[in-house]
Amino acid sequence: MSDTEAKKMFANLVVKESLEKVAGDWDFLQEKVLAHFSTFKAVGQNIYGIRRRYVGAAGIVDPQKGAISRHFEIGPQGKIEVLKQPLEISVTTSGTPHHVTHNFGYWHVNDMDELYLRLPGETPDALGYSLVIMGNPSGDECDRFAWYCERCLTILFERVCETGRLGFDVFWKSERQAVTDYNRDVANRTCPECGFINPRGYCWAVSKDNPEEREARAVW
Amino acid sequence: MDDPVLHYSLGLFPQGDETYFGEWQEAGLYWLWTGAQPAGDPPRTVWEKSEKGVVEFKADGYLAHPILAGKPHHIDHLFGYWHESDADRIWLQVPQKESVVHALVWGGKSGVHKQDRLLWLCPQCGSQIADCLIDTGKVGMEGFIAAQLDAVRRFNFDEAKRKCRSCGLVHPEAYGFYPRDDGAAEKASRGRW
Repeated sequence: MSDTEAKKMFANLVVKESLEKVAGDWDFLQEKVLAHFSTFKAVGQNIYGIRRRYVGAAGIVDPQKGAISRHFEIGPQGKIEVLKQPLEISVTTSGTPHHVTHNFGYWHVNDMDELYLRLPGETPDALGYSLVIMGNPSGDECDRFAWYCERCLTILFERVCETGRLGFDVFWKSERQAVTDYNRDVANRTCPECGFINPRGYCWAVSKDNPEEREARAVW
Repeated sequence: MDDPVLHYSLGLFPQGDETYFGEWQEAGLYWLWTGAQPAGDPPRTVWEKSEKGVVEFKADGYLAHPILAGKPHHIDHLFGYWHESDADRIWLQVPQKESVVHALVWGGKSGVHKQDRLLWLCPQCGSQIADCLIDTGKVGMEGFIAAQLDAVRRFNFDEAKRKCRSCGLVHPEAYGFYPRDDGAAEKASRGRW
C-alpha cells in the first residue's frame, strides 16, 4: 500500500505548522509526554497510566517494585489468578475486585472497566510499556478500596472514593486514607469468620510505604 | 443466571502472521480491533480535521495516539470515510520483528458511544460533500458495521453524490471497514487512501 497517494490527496488541506504546535501531546509514548502519565492522568473520556517496565514472557518487572506479574480477581468462583500476557489487551470489567501482588496492597473495585496492555521493549533488556486505560468516572461511579480475608474471602474492610462526583484527582488521597484506616487497628485485619490475621495494606506508590507497609508489600 | 464476566483477553495478533485484519470485539464498555501489516510497509497515517485544516499523525515506532470524541478522523487504508464518534478512540502502533501491529480502542466511558457520523470531505477545498448519522447506541456493533458499509455503497453508487458543490471535484470512491466486503472499486480505493 502506498501512503503517498493519500498524502497527495489531502495536500491542499494539510496544516503547515509543526505537529507539536498544532497537536501538543499527540503521542503518549513519547518520552517527554509519558512522564505525565506516571500515575494516572485524565485525557478526554479516559484515564491513562503508562509505566516503563520490563515486559517479557516470564512476567512484568517494575524497576522499583520488582516482579508484579500476578493479577488476581474475585468472582462467584472465588479468587482466581488471571494470566496477562505481553502483546495482549485484557479488560477487567467494572465491579470485579482485583489485586496485583506487590503492586498495590488492597483489592481495587472500579465502577469502570480497566484495560491493560503490556508491550515488550525493543530488545530483551530494554524497558517496555505497561498501559492501564479506564473510563473517566462520572455521577455515582466510584472507586473502592477493599480487603478480603486471604483464607476465606470474607470482606473485612472497605472505603469508597467518590471519583465520579469529586473527580479522579481525589483517588490518591483517598487511597492513602483507606490504607491508613485499615492498618490503624489489627481488628480491621482480623477475620470475623475464621480468625485469620491478614497482612497490612499498602499504597500503589512505593514512596508512600512506611516500614510496616514495606514489609506488607513484600508479602502480598 | 450466568456468572458475570470478570475479564476479557484479546491477543494483538496471531503469532507468525505478518499480515492480519482482526474483527471488532466488545469488551465491557470498550470496542477493540487489532491488525498487523508487514514491517516494510509505510506506517499507517491518522488524519484529523481541525479548525486550521487537516493534521497528519504517523510515527515509525511505538505509538499511542488519542482521537478524542467529536474529532473527524480518517485512517488511511482502514476505512474510507471521515469518522466522528461521540466516544474517544486510542490508536496504538506496536512494531514487531516482521510486522507492525495496530490496535484501535474505542469507548470506555459510560453514557457515550451512542452516535457516529461518517463524513466525506472534498480533498481539494475541504467542503463537506456527504454525511451519514448512525445511532450506534441503538444498533450496536453489528448494526454499526452494516450501516457504515451501507453508507459507503450509497456514496459510491452515484458519482453526482461524490461531486463537491463548491469546487466540482469528484471524490474518489469510499470503502468500508472490513476488506473482505470490498468490491473491486472499493478495493482499489482502499489501496489509494
